Amino acid sequence: MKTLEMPLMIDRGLMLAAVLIVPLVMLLCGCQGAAETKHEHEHEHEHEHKHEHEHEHEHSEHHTSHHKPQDFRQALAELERQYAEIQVLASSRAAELPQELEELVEIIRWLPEIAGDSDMPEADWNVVNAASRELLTAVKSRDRGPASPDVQVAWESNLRRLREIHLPAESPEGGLADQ
Amino acid sequence: MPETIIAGGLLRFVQALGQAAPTILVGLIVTGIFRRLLGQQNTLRVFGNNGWRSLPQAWALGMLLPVCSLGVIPILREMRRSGVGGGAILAFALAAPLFNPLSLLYGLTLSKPYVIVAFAFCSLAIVTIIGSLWDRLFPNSAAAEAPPRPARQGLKRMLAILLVTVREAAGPSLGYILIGLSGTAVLAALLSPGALERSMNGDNPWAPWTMTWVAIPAYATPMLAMSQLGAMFQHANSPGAAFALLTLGAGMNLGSLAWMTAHFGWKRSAVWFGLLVTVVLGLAYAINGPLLPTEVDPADHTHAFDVYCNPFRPSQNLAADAEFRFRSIPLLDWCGMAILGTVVLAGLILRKVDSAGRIESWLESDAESAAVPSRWDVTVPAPVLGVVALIGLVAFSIVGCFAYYPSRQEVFEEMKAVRAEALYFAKQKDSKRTDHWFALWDDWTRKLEVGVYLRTGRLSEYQHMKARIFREKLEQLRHAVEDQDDEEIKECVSGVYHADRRLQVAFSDP
Repeated sequence: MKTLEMPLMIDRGLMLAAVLIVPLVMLLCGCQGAAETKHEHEHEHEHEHKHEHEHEHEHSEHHTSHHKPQDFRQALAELERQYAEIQVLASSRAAELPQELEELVEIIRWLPEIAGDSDMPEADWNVVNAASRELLTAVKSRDRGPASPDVQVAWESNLRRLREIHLPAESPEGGLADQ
Repeated sequence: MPETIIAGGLLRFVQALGQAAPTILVGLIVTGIFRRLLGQQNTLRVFGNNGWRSLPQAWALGMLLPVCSLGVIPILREMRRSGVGGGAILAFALAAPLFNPLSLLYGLTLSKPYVIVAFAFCSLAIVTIIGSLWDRLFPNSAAAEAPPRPARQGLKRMLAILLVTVREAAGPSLGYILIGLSGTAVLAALLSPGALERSMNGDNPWAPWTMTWVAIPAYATPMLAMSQLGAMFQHANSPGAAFALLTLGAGMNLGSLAWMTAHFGWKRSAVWFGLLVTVVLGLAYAINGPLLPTEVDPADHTHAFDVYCNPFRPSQNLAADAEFRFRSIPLLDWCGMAILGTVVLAGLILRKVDSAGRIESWLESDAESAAVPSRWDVTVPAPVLGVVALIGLVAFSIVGCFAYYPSRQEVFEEMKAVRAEALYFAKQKDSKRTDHWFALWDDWTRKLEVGVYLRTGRLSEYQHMKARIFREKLEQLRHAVEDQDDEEIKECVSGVYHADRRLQVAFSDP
């Protein structure tokens, strides 16, 4: 076995590698297609950039939605506005409000991240994180609609906690920006 | 252009060899320990004596040993020589490269812990199911060889271990390792830059399938696979593809497949391979929906898999770019390759001058004739030494975690140096160098998290969020540099500055 192993191993190993390369090449056709699509996409993306130039974070279009609030205060204001709208709609409709709720859920989900992208201290951030979790639970609850008393109580108490958070002013940039 | 393809394949080959060198050396040393200290009987016992415990024991030992899918090859050969059954060998082959203490810690801080635990238990399920089925289909697959005579105690026994290591390095294991590395090279040669950027998106139903066939020829260290796992969850990529990457990308390569084929034959290897792919794909699609992160915004592309593709574009200045990339290979990787190269060279010389094993015969001569022991000259049995050596190896890798994941003060110092370089090249709009320094900076933030977790036993959600936001800001700046947009770069640099400052505040002592 030992004396035969080397050439046998090379033969079988190379043949196996060759056999595996065949599906790999087939797969690559799909990947190459994706790469070509990517190049087309880049041209489209440049085009989109020119049209959306007034938007501050164009490149973050790759990763974030255009309706994502810029900071915590904006997120809180948007949260209160959307919740008030949903309350009005919920009282006049018997059915669920999936579309309206979707955006509200997104904003609640973003709250800890938006709060984290500020100089908010840990204790306050933990409040935001906990409030976000409770609000998500309340909003996503299938047994209770947005207009139910339980949900309204959860909303009011968490919104009150969020309003009480004092956001410190952002520190100015030091020499780092000039490095 | 053919020179671009060749250069890309060669670069990935060398990069993979540099990353694999330390764990290949570990695998060779473990082989020596099994052969000369534990011996055949005890090796068989460690792997469950081919009984019902063999598969879970092989999995458990594999999880502890710090080897990769290339370093495991010499160990598999020794297991086969010792008479361990095929199912347990294949289970160990798959499980050993998946996790080790370093990568497990890394994973626990990157992704949600329950995901890593789920993946670990999925790997146990896979090796158990496939190993059991395979043993049932092909029983009596053990093929023990005659064991070597024991070496004399003392220095000669240690020398015997070294000889096993050196001979194995230049033996058939070398060929299998080269086949494994060539898989990575061929993959890189065939995949154009950016070919995988959008292939693993969370909403792509073909993502697990695509990743399966990319991961098989690819080589990934446990750490690389774990870091890519983290990046995939960060970008809401397909969890099924992440699972396929971990199991197949880290767990195997063409070299280990070649070894299986050489020893178990085409039919048995094809059955095992077919079972593996079926089970992995099945599990990948089963977890794809439930584990898809809902709390992160899905990215439309990722650079996490660029490492498997060709880094060179046809329009680039190939010579200058290639020089930069080869120079960017870390010094430690070059050291690892140099040591491995020395061991291989020694093995090749030994094959030439002593193919008959005269040195081994000298080491084994008069092994059983007992000298009169003095009071202070205690004979430690070889198996005891072997077990101590294996435990020591595992303990060393755990202790090594503290060196690999330094304290926060050390990390802050390192980040200071990286920050200056990274932001300088970002403002120069040098996309290539920015990528290099940003990758280092990103890696340091992850080491910061693990280092704090190791030393304090906890990592708060606040700290984790700050690190995550920082890495996102880094990625935004990276894209701005790619776009060569001055205004965007300026804005993103400001974002990175603030995120970095907040990160340091969050991780500083209260």
